[in-house]
Amino acid sequence: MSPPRFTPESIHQCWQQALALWDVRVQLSPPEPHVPFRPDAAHQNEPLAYIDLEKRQVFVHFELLEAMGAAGSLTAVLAHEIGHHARFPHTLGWDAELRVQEQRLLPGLKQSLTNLFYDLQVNEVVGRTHAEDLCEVYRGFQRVRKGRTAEVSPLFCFYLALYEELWGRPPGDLAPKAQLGLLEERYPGFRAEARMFAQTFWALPSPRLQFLYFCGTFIRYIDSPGDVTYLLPLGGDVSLPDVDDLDSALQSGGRWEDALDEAKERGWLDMPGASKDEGELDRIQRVTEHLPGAGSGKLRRALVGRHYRRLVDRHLLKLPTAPSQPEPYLRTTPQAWEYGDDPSAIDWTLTVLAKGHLAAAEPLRRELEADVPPPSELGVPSVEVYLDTSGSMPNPEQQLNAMTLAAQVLSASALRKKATVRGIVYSHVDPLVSPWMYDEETARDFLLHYIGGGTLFPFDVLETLSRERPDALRVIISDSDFLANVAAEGNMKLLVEAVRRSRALVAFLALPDDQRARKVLAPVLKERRFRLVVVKWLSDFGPAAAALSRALLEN
Amino acid sequence: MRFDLFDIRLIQKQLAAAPIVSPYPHDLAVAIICDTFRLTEGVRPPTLADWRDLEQRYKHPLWKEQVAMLAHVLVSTSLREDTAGTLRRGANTRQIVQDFFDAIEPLTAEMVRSNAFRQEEFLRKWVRAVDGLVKDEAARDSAARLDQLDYKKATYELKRAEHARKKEAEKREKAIAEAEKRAAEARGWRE
Repeated sequence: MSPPRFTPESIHQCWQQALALWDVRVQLSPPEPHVPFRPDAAHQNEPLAYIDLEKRQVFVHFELLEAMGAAGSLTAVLAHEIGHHARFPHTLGWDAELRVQEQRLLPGLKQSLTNLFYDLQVNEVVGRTHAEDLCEVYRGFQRVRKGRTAEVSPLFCFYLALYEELWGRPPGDLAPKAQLGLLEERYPGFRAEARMFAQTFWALPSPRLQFLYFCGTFIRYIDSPGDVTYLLPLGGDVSLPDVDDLDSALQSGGRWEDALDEAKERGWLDMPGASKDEGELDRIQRVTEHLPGAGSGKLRRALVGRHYRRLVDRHLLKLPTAPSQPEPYLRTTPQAWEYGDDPSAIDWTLTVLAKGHLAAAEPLRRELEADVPPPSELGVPSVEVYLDTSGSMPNPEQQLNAMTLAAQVLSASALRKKATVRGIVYSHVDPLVSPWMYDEETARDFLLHYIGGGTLFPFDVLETLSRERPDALRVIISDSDFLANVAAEGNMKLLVEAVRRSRALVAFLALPDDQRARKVLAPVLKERRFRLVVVKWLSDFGPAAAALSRALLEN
Repeated sequence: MRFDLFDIRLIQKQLAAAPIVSPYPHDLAVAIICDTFRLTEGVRPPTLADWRDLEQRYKHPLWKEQVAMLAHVLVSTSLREDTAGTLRRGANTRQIVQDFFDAIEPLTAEMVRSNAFRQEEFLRKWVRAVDGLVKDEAARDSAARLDQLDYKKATYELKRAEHARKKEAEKREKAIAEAEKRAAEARGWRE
């Protein structure tokens, strides 16, 4: 419940003033009081205000605002939150783009600085009319924090010094006076840098350039990116982007090239990460590795899944060869033309040939119709994919794994033809066996599993599954280790029996040449239903899988 | 004697509202500045020889850019009238112009056009050069503000930071390289 100081009328009035401050038409629900996350703990650690950018709802911690002695700053605080909705960042897609770049420039950064970046942008606008109110918030925040932490971090000091410079306040008006001397010693040119930043940042022509300048300057005040955490008033008030936002942000690299070049030219970026040209999986790793808890694993898996889907589509998507509605060109059988029918439908040649002298009296008509191709569903079988994920191949989440990609191509291809797919991911022991899968998303996710030990093909599983579903098409994706496994005692017999029970069994192997394979697999090569496909280069796995799926599933 | 106060905010608003024009040719810009001085009775603008001297003194293309920018600001805002109202009979215009261009030496026209701080600095330095006063401001506050806005001084002080930054960047690069090495080892898959 709000304290009596904030009456519904006063809140409404502040809200209206705050809305009017942004020169755009926005429709937001009025602010709601923040319900403390931990009601028993001191409220200094609770957020002062924040906006849920999914529901677009503003929350304010009225008690904390009062305790900070900044009750008169409610309009400024509300305007700040509306600013996040109206302009900075406005969408979480943009936020995701910044987070991706941030991880590239400041690798391993634990807590994102993007919120600070938006706050600088928002506060410049709000501060044009409410600078003193915002100053009160920052002063009040330090008052309530005093005693809990003796020292203010250099990052926060620099941040406050920026506002002093922006709003023409004397040094020490916001930043703790006692620390300024020490900071100047530790970071020579501290004040000059803050001044130059404040006089340059807001004048930069594009937000991308602004962000690069921001990162290039702030990195100096981050001693160890992996440990950086900060608690600032209004410093954590924007929601996190979701998987889709991050995924599209990962594709947006090209849009940053010009800004990066300009930033380097201006000498802002002396960070090693800035010039590195890295792969998409590395970028996914960077973006997700610092996230706390189990969420990062799921997020990474989802982003990697989308990456592999794009790779799969590169191999599988093709332009339609026949138009979906073919032109009518086939003539129908002749019928008698009657008065009132379309005269252009009369086939005079046929009429003359058929009717002779009576042609003019009894014309025949023929229509044109489309030659619709017969449906191509030829009863695609169930497909079992045996994927070798031993340590000889990289973890697909960290580096492109060509075998995983081949399995993804095969499974996607089969599922798009309405087949069902089962994946068997194996390495040394305890292979992972999926149930029969009916959709691409599930199959893609399953086939991203990785074990990473030695190689021991699960012949027992092959035997069991081939008995369970005898008509299935089975594809084994592996390398030379498979030959060693087959050569072991008793395994060849199991393989031959499984081949006989399957509709077809394909050994899809990465080998320098097929001589040894032909020798080792000689007994099974005699089987009509066995096929050996050898890929010499790992990079050929994807295209070869696409060709294989066409050969197996389209004929 | 008239005595006008310079309203910096108003001049900035007028500048923002002024249409974008191509930079004035140098001779025209010089004529505009000289005409501004002529508006005050008993003030002689710098002579042609003075301008030649100034050109010799600065020698860089940036100077002509600054002259054109000053002419643009004088034409599009109330700075011209305020200047005319502030100048005193017999003012040494050669010295005024020289002091002004000495003070704004590193500013480019683009900076003055696009950066509100640089624009304010440009205007305030002109006010100081003509010995004027800013509206609603004590002379001491104006001096403090000008000190805060001094780009030349900030650039000079920033140089001190650059050396430290370079060292810090090297240290950081080393730390990141080590972290990457550790991460690669942790990833560890054998070829």
